[in-house]
Amino acid sequence: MLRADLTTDEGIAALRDRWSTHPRGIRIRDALEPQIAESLLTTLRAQPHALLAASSVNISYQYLASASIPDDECDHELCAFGRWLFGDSCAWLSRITNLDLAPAPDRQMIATLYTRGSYLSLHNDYDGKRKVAFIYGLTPPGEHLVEPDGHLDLLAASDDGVSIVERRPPGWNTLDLFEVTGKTQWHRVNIVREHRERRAIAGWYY
Amino acid sequence: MTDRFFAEPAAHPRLLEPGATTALATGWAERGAARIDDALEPGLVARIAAVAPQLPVTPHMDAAGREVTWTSRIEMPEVTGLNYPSCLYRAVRFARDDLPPLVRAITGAPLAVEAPFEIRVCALKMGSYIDAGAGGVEAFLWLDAPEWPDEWGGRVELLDDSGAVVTALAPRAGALDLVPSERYRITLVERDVACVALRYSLAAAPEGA
Repeated sequence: MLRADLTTDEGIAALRDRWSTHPRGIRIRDALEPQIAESLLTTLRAQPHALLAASSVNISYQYLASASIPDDECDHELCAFGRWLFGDSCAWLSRITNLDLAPAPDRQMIATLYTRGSYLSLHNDYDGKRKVAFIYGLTPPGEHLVEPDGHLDLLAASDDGVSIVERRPPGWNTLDLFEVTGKTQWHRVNIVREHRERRAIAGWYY
Repeated sequence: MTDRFFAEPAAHPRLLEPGATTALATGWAERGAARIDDALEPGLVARIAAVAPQLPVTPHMDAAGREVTWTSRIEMPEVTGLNYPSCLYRAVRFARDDLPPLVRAITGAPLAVEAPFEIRVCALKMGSYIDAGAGGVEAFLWLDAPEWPDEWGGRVELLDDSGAVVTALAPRAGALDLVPSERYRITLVERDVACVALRYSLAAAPEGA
């Protein structure tokens, strides 16, 4: 599933070094074999996505999403990806982060589509159980989103409230990983102002 | 429609006076849009605005992605009862009996509200927008809108044939905005704010109506 050099001892050691020196997490580019990314995009484009939106004091969001549970017997790329996500990826990522990680108990794979008007307000993912958030980026190459549209902001407390520590553009075949064990690991996705296709598969390791 | 809530006009009395719409019709001819401040009888907008937030709005995106709004649709009965506040019946009265002649006087088009007994609450929140639709006239009666800077988005914009903006109106409580359905948009709301309108779609009146 992963690009081959990411799973070697040397590859894992390099990622571990990056993880240990980047407290707000890392982005792994070209994370999967290219044909797998293409196949996942094709599959997700064919799946119906429902509009999810909420507006409250704690969090506001608006985006389209599709949930699925990988079939143990299915050989389709999406199910294979899901089995990897809830299986081998835990051990791989545990070696990188030095955290004892487990998959999401409900095995739900959430695919998101941010199009015009989509956003996710400032929040942390803290619930006392989640350890690492992942965002596998599947925004098609060439689907240019002007900064800050659809960009992931990682923020930290500052004298003015919060300030942006890092801004990551929507990625194609990228794997964003960041720790969510604390209550100050704020992040958000900026509103998409044009008709664009920002796709990802996102969730948490526990 | 003999009930007392339906008997009297719900539009502001000044709009019923001779010549009241002359300036609005001129504005429509020149700009293709009309804004009527204080369109309803005194106090009615405030009464509806007090009720509207209690109606369950849900996020809605149309199939073509031309619109994301928060919407509530309440089908009102034709006879008044105990279940609905009187102000909603007055809103029905406005939609069915007052708005079509007002629109005709301003635009010259004999149109009718497509679903006059439906209370259609349209809330704009962060991420909401509307792009132009089919023919007819779209009406937004703003119930609750704070001071609304342009940078928030959410403006009603009238477009010319090239797509250029010729008129832009920020939401304003009590105002009724009329725009041609195929040449307007509501720009993306980019801030975590909200405003609420009653929305009416007017189309060609059925023959014999």
